[in-house]
Amino acid sequence: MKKFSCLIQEGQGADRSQALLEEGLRRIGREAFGDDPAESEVAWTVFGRGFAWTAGEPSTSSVVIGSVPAGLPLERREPFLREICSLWERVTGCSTDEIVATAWDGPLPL
Amino acid sequence: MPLYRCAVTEGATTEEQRAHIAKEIVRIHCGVTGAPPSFVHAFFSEVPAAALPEGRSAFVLGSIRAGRTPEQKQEIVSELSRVVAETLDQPIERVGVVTADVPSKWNMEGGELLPEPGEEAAWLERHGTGH
Repeated sequence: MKKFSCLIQEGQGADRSQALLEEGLRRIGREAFGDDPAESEVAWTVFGRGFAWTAGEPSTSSVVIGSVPAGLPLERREPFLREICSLWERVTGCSTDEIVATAWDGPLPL
Repeated sequence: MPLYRCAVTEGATTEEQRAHIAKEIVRIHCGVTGAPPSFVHAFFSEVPAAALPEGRSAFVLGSIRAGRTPEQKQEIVSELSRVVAETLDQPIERVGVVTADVPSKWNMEGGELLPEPGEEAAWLERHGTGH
């Protein structure tokens, strides 16, 4: 089952660190929801130069969408999101403004 | 957030066209909603023609923060459809644009949960105005 969808930029930190990030996301899913890491699919979409823009300029941002149980209360949703952002900053060296995390209720739409 | 995912036919767009559309998305979204530009992401994917909705040569899905009015969403859809059609030299009927509401509190950006629409001032004060 797809648990995470990651939209990243070609050649940037997240692209070079997919294996570590994938391992970290599976750990976060296990710790937050007891998900079996072996069954937690992490999907990657890598955008080449000229295909991603933030504020109208070439983007350096990653977007990570994680599937969570519907109706997850904020006191569990916020730490889940914070873990994802911390993982990205630690592994890729990105700034806090370069990672967008979404906790999506139910199956991922994309 | 917002995140505009733009699917276009393989090889049918230039970088200049995508850059123009990305800037127009910022102009339109921020003009209609008052949201700060630093929130606006526009990501493009090239797909086979068969992967697009029937009759479309470009399709845009805008995931936007919940709380916008129906009138605001309609204005975004209308204006963005026009801009994409003109930029790609396509009939407007060949362009699809839809928006999807995503609750602010489902999203973290800048290390914080996103503010509700209209409550961005304090968030921006803590983070500055742009990435």
